[in-house]
Amino acid sequence: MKRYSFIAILTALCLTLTGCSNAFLPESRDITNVQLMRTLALDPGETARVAVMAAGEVQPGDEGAEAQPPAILNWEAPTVFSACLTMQTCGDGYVSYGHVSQCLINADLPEQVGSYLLDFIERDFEMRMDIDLYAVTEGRAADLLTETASGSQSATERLESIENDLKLTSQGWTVTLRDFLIDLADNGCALLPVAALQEEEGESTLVCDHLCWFREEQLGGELTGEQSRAAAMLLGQAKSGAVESALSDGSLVGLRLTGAEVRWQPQWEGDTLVGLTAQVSATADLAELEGDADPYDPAVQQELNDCLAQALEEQIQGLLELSQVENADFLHLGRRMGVQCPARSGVLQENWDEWFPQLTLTAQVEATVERSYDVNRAEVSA
Amino acid sequence: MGFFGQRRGKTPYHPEQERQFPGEPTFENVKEIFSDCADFAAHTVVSARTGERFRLCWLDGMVKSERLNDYVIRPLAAGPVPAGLDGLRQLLEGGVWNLNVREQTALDDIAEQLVAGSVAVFCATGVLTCDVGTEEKRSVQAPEDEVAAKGAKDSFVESLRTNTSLLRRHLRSPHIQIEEFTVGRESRTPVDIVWLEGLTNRKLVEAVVGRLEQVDIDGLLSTGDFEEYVAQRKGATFPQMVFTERPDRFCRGILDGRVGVFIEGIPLGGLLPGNITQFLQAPQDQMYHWTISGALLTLRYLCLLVTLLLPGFYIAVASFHFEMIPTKLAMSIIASKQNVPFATPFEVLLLLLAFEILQEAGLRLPKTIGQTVSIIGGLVVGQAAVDAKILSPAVVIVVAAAGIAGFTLPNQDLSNALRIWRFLVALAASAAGLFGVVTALAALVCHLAGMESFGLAYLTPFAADAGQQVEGHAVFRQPIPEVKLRELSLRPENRRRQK
Repeated sequence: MKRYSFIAILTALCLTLTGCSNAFLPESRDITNVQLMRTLALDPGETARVAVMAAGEVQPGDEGAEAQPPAILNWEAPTVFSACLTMQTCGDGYVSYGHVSQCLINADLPEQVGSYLLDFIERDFEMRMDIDLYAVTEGRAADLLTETASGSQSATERLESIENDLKLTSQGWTVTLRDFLIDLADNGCALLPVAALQEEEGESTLVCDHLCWFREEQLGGELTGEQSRAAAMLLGQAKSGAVESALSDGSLVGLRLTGAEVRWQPQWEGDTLVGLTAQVSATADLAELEGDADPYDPAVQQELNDCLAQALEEQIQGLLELSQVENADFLHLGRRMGVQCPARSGVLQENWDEWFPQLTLTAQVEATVERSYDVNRAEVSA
Repeated sequence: MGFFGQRRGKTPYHPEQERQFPGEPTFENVKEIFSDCADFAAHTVVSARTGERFRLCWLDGMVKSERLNDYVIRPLAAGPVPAGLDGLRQLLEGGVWNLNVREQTALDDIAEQLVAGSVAVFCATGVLTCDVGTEEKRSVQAPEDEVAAKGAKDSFVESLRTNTSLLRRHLRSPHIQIEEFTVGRESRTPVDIVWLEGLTNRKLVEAVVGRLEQVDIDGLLSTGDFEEYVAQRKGATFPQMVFTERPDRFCRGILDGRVGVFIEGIPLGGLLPGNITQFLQAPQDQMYHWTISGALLTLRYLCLLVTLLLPGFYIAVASFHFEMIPTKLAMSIIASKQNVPFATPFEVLLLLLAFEILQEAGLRLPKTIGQTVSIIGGLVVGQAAVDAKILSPAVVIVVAAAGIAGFTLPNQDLSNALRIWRFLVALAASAAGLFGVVTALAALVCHLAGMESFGLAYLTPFAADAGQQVEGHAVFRQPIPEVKLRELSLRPENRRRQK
């Protein structure tokens, strides 16, 4: 009997640990009455500090009925939290932000971008730090949501497919809120993919084909598609991508990037860092060849290698120079050097801001077009 | 009247009935005992040589007529049986052609022997009983519940002596010891305790024998009668004694250092003491390659968790913590629950109850009808309930998965215990979500940790075993050549299993 009394008391004590001070047991919210929000859009508000729009997913129709368009809620309030809370009162179900996986941030937000989200998400037990962030540099983020959401597709689905597309083009990558905040905390600079609407034959499509960079939590500038790919290569995010070039005989070649490895070679003069060389080893496949060049000819193969190396070198060099000109280390070279040379991390940390604008940044690319497939020869060339 | 029937009054006096029938061991007294028994039969035989009269009595149906005629009546009628005390002794020493002839001096013993299938022979100088009982019994057949493709095809039967012979055929060791007890005031059920001398811990044997001697019950007719008296802790939902119908598994238990139990009339062998790993091991575990056995055993442990926790976990995440559910799955659940009128906890508990009802209905009915009930109940009614939006498909899947996972457990008693705890976990989850699940789980662990069987902690080897690694068989079976020692927890007198 004593044992059962002990278990009963223990059970009662455990139930008090449920975190609910105003009720003995935690409050149940049945999943039946829940509206799951998947994407948030943050814009400067017209009547209040911030305008928040939340969009759900397309609801599949019941027993062959038409699919319901995604639910979209919006509100303007002084804070993201109060806007989200107010939106809870809209509709008859519980609006859950626990499944928000993407967030579009208007780059024109007048104040520090991170502060909008950091405070809210850090303190909200439902929200997650692995939300993918996208910057909106043209127009309003809310418009992207509403334009993309239709009866058959939601902005969430489109952004999820963009995430996969970015892996193919290597012109960007998804950046989570956690990564974004870590980068900002490192040196005040961070990269974000840019989401935009592309009008084609009267239809709007959400696209993401380049990156932008932030400095001190405000938009610093945008990178071109090639610069974005160069950034992806330097940061180890390039898994695939297309590079076009022309051979000396005028043949147009399309190369499929298959990998890139980067080694940073620092040049020290005493205890001073004077230069950095990015030694890139890139591999690619020959995807397309228009012209008379024979890809099995060693001379042509060498030319292909040189063409790819030159194209990538120019892109990477351009990106490094931009970074230096803007005095924005959005590639986080300082952090990278600190990891690579731990004995000098203290010196680097102290002097990086001073050294960075004067560093000699160079790119050396060694490229190899590894193989091609010719149906006429039916063999793989290596 | 109380809520559960008549209020309990003072416990009636239960006299010790060492001697039920006082009086002299005479034919008249025996006849008086069985005066209202239609099967009581008597016969008088007169010796053709000496003229002495022998009065015989027996119970019809309990004796074999041929044996009675050929080996008792014929020698008495035609044999050279002298009168007087020497004549009685001559009967004992071969005058009656029977192996099991005993002189009886107490009326109780005569009555007991008659019930056991003997014939009582009353002569002028004393009483004899001769065993002429029938040997009508089920033949040894292939096991039905513990089927193993690569194992032996014999199983225990209701006859105690057949079971001991099966044991001796599988384990031809002269060290096997069999001690017999009679349990049950009215049933007089023979119970055999089996162990291996020099291997099984003697204290364990003494403890089992001591516990058995304390059993004072009117009838020992089922395993539960024995288990609850000898092995079970009161209030324990989990089984503490392994019953098997396979002689090979029984022998393996004996070789591990456990004590075996046979009960007359029960086609099972029991093994004491029991711990939780015993109930998760299947007969085929030793028959397959150790990697396969290990994987299957691991799967069984996983199924144990699934059957116990899945409904409760579903209630918890669907009603309290839906942020935990992967988004696509959450959306699928939401879509499937549209227009379902019940809240998730009620839905799950309702379906769990329906599942139990179906299971019971299937067991009580003949096999063919039972299958029909299962099909109608499971498929037709289930589908209709989903179509009618009474239940959501996700709940049906969860409860069905939990039920099927329960069927993978090799021991029905363990499975039944988990069915009870599955409800408790689901109720706790309904009240407090994952906190409830964890609390129920903690209560279960407390419950299990508090159980022990003859000094062996129930959670051995997970929570006991003197901190030593288990040789052989816990979650993942080791290769048999590697298992050099027997389980330490059983304290065997000889730990070495092999060279």
